[in-house]
This record gives sequence, C-alpha cells and structure tokens, in this order.
Amino acid sequence: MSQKLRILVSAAPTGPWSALAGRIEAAGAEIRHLAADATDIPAEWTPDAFVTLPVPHATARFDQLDLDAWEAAADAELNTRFRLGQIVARRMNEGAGGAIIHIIAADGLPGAAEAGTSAILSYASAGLSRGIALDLKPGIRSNTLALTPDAASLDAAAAMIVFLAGEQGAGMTGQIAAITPTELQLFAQSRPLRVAHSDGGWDEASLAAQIARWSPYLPRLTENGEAL
Amino acid sequence: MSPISSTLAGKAVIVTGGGGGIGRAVCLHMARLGAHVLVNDLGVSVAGDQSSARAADVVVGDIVAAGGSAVANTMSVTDKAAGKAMVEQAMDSFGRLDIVINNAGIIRMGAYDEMPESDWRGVLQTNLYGAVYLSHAAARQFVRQNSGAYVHMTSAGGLIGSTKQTNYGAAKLGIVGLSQTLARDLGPLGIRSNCIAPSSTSRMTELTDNARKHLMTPEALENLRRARLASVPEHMAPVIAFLGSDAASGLNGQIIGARGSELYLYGHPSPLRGLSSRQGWSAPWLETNLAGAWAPFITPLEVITDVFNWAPVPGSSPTDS
Repeated sequence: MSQKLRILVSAAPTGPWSALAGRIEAAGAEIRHLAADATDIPAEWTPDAFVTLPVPHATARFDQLDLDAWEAAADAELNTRFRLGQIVARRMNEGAGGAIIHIIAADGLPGAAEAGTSAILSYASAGLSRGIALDLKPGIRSNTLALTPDAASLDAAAAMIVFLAGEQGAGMTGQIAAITPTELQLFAQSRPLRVAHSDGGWDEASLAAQIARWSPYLPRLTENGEAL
Repeated sequence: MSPISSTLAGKAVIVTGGGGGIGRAVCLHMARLGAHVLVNDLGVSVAGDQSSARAADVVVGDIVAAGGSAVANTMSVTDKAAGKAMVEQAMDSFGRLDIVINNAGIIRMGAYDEMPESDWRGVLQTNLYGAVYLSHAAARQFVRQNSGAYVHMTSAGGLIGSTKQTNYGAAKLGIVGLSQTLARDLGPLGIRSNCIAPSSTSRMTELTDNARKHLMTPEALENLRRARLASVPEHMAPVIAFLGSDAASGLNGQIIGARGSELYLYGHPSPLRGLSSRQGWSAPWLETNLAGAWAPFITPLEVITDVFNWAPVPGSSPTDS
C-alpha cells in the first residue's frame, strides 16, 4: 500500500466533534491536530488535507439566542477556520497542493428550527470554502461537508474525508455535500431559477404580480432533517 | 406626501448604511412612499474621513425637505449596542417599527493566502455581525407585536462566488443563513425575512470591477459595462422596498436578485444528487464510484460574470440607455 494520507485536523479537545479525528485515523489516514492558536505546522509534515471543525452551537429561537454567546461562537469558529486555513494553505502551496474540508453542522445547512447560530456559521463557512476554492485553484481544493456529530455519521464522514483528500477526490472543489450513515448528497448552490424583465421598471404592483407568477417555483424552507 | 399608493405609507423602517449608494436610494424611495425612515450611517464622508455634514443627516435633511419623516442614527452597526439603540430610537421617534433593512456593508479585497486577518474580521463584523445584532434586537420587538419584515443584502459574490473576497463571500452567505433562520423561527409568528442580491453601480463595485478587468474577455467586460449602466441604485430601491412591504406578504425565506430592469428568483442550497447505502460508506467504495456519479452535477468554479454572462435588456427609463 502507498504511503498513508496525512490529514491535519483542527483541534477540538472536547465536545461532539472531537471524536472525528480518531475516526479518520481508523479509516486509514495519519492524523495530527492543529491547535486553534497555532502559528505554524510541523516542518517535516506537509498535510494532504486539512479538516476544520465547527464549535458546539447553542439552540434557541433566534430572538432568544444569547448574543454574547453567539459572538463567541462566531469568533471561535469562523476566525479559526480562516486563520488555520491560511497557515495550512501557505504550506500546501509550497508543496504539491492539497485539500481543505470544512465540516459544518447539518442543522445549519440544510437547516433546522431554532438553530440560528449553526445556520449563520455554517453558511458563512460554506462561503469561505467557496472563496478558498476560487482563490487557490488548481493546487488547493476546498469543500464543505455537513453532518450531525453522532458516531455513525462521524464514521461516514471519515470515509468521505479520506476520499476528498486522495487522488480520486481531485475533481471535487468548491462543493457542498452532506452525509449520513446511509445518505450522501451533493448540493446545488444558489443560482437564478427564474429571470424576469420589465421595461417600465418595477413598482409595488408589478413586483407583486411577478412574485405571484413565480409562486409555483418558490423554494421551500427545509424542516428539521427533511433534506436528508 | 405622495400621490402614489403604497402599503408602506405610515410604516417605520430602519435602513443601515443609509447615507450612500443603495441605502440612500432606499431611504429616499421609502420616504416618498410615506414610510418613516431611521437613516443609520456611520457618518464618514465620501473620502472615508469624518465630515462636518454627516451622510445620515444629509439624507434625513433631503427627506424632511420633501415633506417626509426621518431621523438620523450615526452608530456603527459593529457596536453590539447599536442594534438595540436603533430599535429604541425608532420606537421613540415613530411609535412603531415594521421593517429592518440590513444594508450596511464594506469591502476589503485580497487573495485568501495573503489577506490580513483584520480585513477578514472587519468585513465579517460590518456585513454579518452588524446584521445579526440589529436583527436580534428587532426580533424581540417583532415577536412582541407579531409582525415585522426583514430585508438583508446578500450578494452574488456570496451566492455564486467571487475571487479575492473570502471575507465578503463568507459574510454574504452567512447573511443567507441569518435570513433562513429568521424565516424559519419567526415565520409562524407573522414575521418575514428575505434576501436581496442587488447589482448596482457604486464605489464598491467600481473597486471590484477594476480589480478583475484583466481576468475578463472583451465581451464579458462590455456586458459588465452595460449591466452597470443599467443598474443605478435607484433601480434597486423599489425592489428592496417591496420586499419589506405588505405587498410581499407571500415571500418568506426567499432570495431575490435584481439588476437593471431584471428580477431573479434564486434557488436555495439544496440536495441535488443523492446516493443511498444500506451498509454505510467506505473510502474504497467512494474512491471507485463517487467521482463518476457526481461529476455531471458539480457546481463549476464559476464567478458572477460567468453566470450573468448577458447584458440586461435596457428598460425604458433614460438612465438605461
């Protein structure tokens, strides 16, 4: 067998996501952790892939969320993904490139009730991932993978991460996917579904009429777990 | 003040970043339709420094001079207390709050591997955190009254993707997450939340266009020039005002786009190509099968001008020619 894939995982000392690194190792990869305050990675160990993790998210109806806790979660999750991703990307750029995989919570994307923190941070992480894919192509790939952090889903994600990190995953970048123990979904991203033109400009009445014409095509908000 | 009949007459609205660009056009338009407007703007001049006449005050002056109703607020949306303060100011000034328009935004371009963390944080704090703070404060008022509407500025730069803008793309997709949350959590209470992805001409878009000119074919550049010509902020204002109005009562959790005389209905990120397994996934199985199964359904690494690769059809207004 060829040399094991080297997969760096952002450190999550506690919480439901902390078990993922062990599952990736069990799937056959060599694992190292990168602390949130890391400024560099081991000189002799250039990773094939880097996995960034979400922080645990509070759940509450949006108006009842604690704003200080929201801000702390946003800082911890988004700034860490940005900063560590940069450190790893610079190292990968010096070598043969690599893959970055942003793990997000499935209650944020596709979404669930009372999961506002998760939704805002998951969507923002997907936006970061897409931007990385565009900026650093073709050497560095970046994808977003949504799941719930139960044991069976972590095992499924570990297999997917090994796929994305390896040669067969070379065509996957800028994508959003979701995985459960039995389902694997590639996502369509937001694009115009319908286009309308009004040569007299738009006003309240003409806009209301246009929206009424579009009503059969309005995307529906997914309910809890429905999309998967 | 206006003979035009609108469901916005008598409603109260907060517009962040209302001192210039699309925000200013929205303030003036909604005031003309009879809405009371809280114009929030940090109060920097066009050159970016402190000016004696603050942008919000100028817009309020214009509205009042035309017989409308408006008050100014010069707090930074990045101040966590600003959201609550704006809601309180609207309630004190107008006795009500019906609509929140999260418009304030900044841009700081740079390739991901070279972007200073301060540029990442700055854009996230203004474009995303600021919208969360105000939405949260307004949600408490909206829940009390069982009504209210949000309109959030997202961007094709976040929905589709954009180079040298990981910060902006993350913030603008994060805004979609915020809007979906409000729509899902508060929709059953009679509160609506929608996103608008506007295309317009401003100092912000000139900056991004100039940075990308060398990446574009002459044809794409000409399409972009015509699109910008057709897309003055005044064309965005009616669409944004509509989304906040009762005339849009059937819209919740949607993403609408506008460019010149064109209107778009966007899809949500959603499952497209599924695979099921009874025995679970293994890396060897995925390595053998997944690339082939998914290849036809991959979202290309395209940017805005790849998707909007046509010039908008001109409208009848003189500014469209």
